[in-house]
Amino acid sequence: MPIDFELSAEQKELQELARRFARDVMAPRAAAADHSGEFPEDVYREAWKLGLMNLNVATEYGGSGLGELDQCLITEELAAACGGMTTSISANCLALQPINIAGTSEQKERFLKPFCSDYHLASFALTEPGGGSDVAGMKTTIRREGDEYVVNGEKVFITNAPHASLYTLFATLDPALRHKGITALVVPRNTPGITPGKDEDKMGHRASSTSSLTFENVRVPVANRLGAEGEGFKIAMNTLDSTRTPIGALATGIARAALDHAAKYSLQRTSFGKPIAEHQAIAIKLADMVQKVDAARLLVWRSAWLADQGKPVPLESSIAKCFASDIAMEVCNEAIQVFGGYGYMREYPVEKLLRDAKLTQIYEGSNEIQRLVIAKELLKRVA
Amino acid sequence: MDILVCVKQVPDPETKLRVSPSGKTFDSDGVKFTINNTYDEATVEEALRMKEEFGFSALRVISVGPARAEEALRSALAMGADEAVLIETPRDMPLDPLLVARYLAAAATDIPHDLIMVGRQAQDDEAGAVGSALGEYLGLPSYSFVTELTPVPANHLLKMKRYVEGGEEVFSAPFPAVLSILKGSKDPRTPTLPNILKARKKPLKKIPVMDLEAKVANLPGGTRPTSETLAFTLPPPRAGAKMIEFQTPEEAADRLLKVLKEEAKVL
Amino acid sequence: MTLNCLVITDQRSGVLSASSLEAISEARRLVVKAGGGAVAIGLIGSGLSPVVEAVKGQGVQRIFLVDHADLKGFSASAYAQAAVRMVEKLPAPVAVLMPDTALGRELAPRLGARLGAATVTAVVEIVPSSLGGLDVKRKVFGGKATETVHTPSPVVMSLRPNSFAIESSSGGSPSVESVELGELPVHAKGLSVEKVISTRGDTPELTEAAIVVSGGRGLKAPENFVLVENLAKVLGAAVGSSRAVVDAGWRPASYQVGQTGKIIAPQLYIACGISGAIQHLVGITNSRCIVAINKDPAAPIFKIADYGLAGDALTILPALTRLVSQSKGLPDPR
Repeated sequence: MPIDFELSAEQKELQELARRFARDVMAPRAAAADHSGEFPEDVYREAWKLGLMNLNVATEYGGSGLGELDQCLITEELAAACGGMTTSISANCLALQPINIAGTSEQKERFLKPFCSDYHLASFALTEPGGGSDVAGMKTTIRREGDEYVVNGEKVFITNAPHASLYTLFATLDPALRHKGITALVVPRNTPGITPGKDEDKMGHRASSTSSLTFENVRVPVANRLGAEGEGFKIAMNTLDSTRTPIGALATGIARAALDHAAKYSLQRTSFGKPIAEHQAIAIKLADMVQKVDAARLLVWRSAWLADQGKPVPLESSIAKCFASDIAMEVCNEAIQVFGGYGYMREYPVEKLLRDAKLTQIYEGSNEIQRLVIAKELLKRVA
Repeated sequence: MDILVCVKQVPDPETKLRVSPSGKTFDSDGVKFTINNTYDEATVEEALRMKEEFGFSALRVISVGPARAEEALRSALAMGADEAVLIETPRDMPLDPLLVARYLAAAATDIPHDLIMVGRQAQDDEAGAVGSALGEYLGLPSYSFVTELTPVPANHLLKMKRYVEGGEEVFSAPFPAVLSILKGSKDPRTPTLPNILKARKKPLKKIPVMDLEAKVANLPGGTRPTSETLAFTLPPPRAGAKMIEFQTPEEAADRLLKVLKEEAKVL
Repeated sequence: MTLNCLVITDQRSGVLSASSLEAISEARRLVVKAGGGAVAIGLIGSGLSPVVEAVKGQGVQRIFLVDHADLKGFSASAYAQAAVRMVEKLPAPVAVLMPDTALGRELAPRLGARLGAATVTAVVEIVPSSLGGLDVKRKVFGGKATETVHTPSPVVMSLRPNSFAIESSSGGSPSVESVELGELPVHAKGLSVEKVISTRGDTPELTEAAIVVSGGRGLKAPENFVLVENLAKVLGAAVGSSRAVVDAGWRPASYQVGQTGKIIAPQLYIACGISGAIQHLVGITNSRCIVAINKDPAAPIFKIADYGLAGDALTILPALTRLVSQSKGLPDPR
């Protein structure tokens, strides 16, 4: 049996845990947090207590050491309740991954363990005002002074930045060196000279917190450097390779929620004397939506499964992320249409899903960048 | 001092019920089963409290059901139970609550138990019959609808409250005993992700039903169900309200109460 | 074919429960339907003389009595032993009926297990089968489905309260027979109840209540909402509302039933002055029985309700409340 789509009993349990948490803790708060833009940190603490954060930290440092597929199963369940909260909950996986990848065992001991013994948030600080996709063009600089680096510059769109106690920061020894100058540092929040900006007022993912971070003569011990000088670019790319597929799972979760709401509503709502589900115009929409959600999930699972086999997945992860986020937009859009006028109202849950879905096309590598990667990989294979 | 908790895997309460092709039960194809019956979760939580606060040593969970019932047991292990036993039945084996109790009794003779705890009833068949029947088969006292439980282990005594219509009775009684738990003192804990992973490594023993048949045959009722399910039916879809005609408000009230009592049987 | 019925009554509170009268009435009907046989009442407890008097006029043939100091508090083991002694006195086929109270629910399986008998709890309908034995119905899955079970003799059944009509009896002068209890196992002797705490009067949770009474804008003014609450009080029901009532500030958001409020599935839902916007209907479709009271006979609520009263909730509610409190012997809250 070369292919097996059956989840293990253990995976079903993890999925059930996430589903319950999503249904009982996240979902009841989703609408209110979306309206107010509050940061529901009690929900995140609860997620931490259940072990739903830091999924990728190895067991020897107190984490669960889950593979990508397990992470994706959990992420889809959480995202079906609230995409914004899921982004904040999974931000630690992104921020801690550079330490998993490039940290020494001493660094892992020092930085990862506290996250597993207590609730803390961490942020991945890569994107700059000058542009997110052009990583090699970053302007935040580091200068070595004795056994310290001095950091100066600004990062933007940093998830959980004002609430985090630790940053994994990417900065350059010299912008002229392009990607060869980029170096990764672990920076505790309480280091003098760090100022988070005000919370951005976002279109969606409003339960998540996003802000800029400025670094003004911030002194970081050399002992906090991940890998060698100039290895930062590779560390960042490897990190994004491993978190890209879970973003596909997050988008799939949002799309699934939209489909679920639309299908249920279509059985309740009647027009012309019968449930609107019995009108072909609606039935066909639903049929298209379910195909897309299914396809997205399968692409996500394939990419995650391959990664768990230790295979490089630049093509598969980009396909999964790009496809799932694109269909999330389409499915949410159609869900609103199924709801008609009610779908446009804030009282009903589907317009939020559309706003949340939009970000998944943009963050962690825009879909334009994903397509470039996909095309490049394709052409490499036929050349 | 050991505790044995009996659990049952039941369909997700939100599952859409369909009648099976035989017409005798619900269609389990494509039904999502919850990890556990809610009343059983409350019972496992209460049993954990017995262990944590009153010095009971081992907590074992047991279930009668097909292979998938292992999921319910794993969930109880993830909550904190130490060991599990699955009395594994063929998928469509006909069972009634008392036959389940006989299999549990047969298995329990080889499992140490000072306290046996069950949830007040399963959410699917709502029979609530296993607890006191199990007490009978094992020759133990049973106490049902327990709402508060404080053991005095030194005297082998349980101080309890139990539900009665309109109130609660406060009483003390000896154990070993079988208790059916109406509600626990705490909300059941959700198994954490690390505990789910740890539960995989806890012992889970599977006993095929046939291994227990000789013992069950010696109990009154034997190895067959004593009743036979003829039909499982769903109410017809709502056809619109039956309008009740009336002249005065008093007449309206009188006629409504009458149909609710005699026809709808909800009062 | 004949059938002999033994009805084990519940007089735990000191008086015979109404559900016991239902079981006696049903036993009398069953014997007639089965084509003959006797009905015996089995009284188990301590200090039962007043109850013996109360059941004498119930139109039954025999009364069995196990009146013993060790049976003062309810022990299923001890009561089952007493019941077995009674069953032994009846010729087959035998059906044992008891109310599905806390006592009956625990005693029926214990007795069934001891007798090796078919045992069915929470029964809502009993029909003698043409093949012999009984066909018994019970509700499963929170009332969402019905199971029909065929039982041979002997059978032990607990009857769900409020499911069987109480019929006044034809009198009769039954024999009162004292039955020997025999030696009880040590654990079953003299279970003593220290005290009974009454919990009546608590309002149930909206999502857990068996009955929910809800009010909508059809009540016209906030001060009329008390009519809904009065009915709920006498029914032991929870109180809900439509979204319009919450939006108008008559009641807090915690009352709201519907898509953006609470999704509920009670046995009985009574919607008063609620027209039935889809967002409300989504929250109540899993109710077992829905009653709608609304002035507008074309209101959408009547499409999904089981029973409808096209009339003014403001006049029907007080009448309902009065009637329910009379039938329960409660003072009218108004």
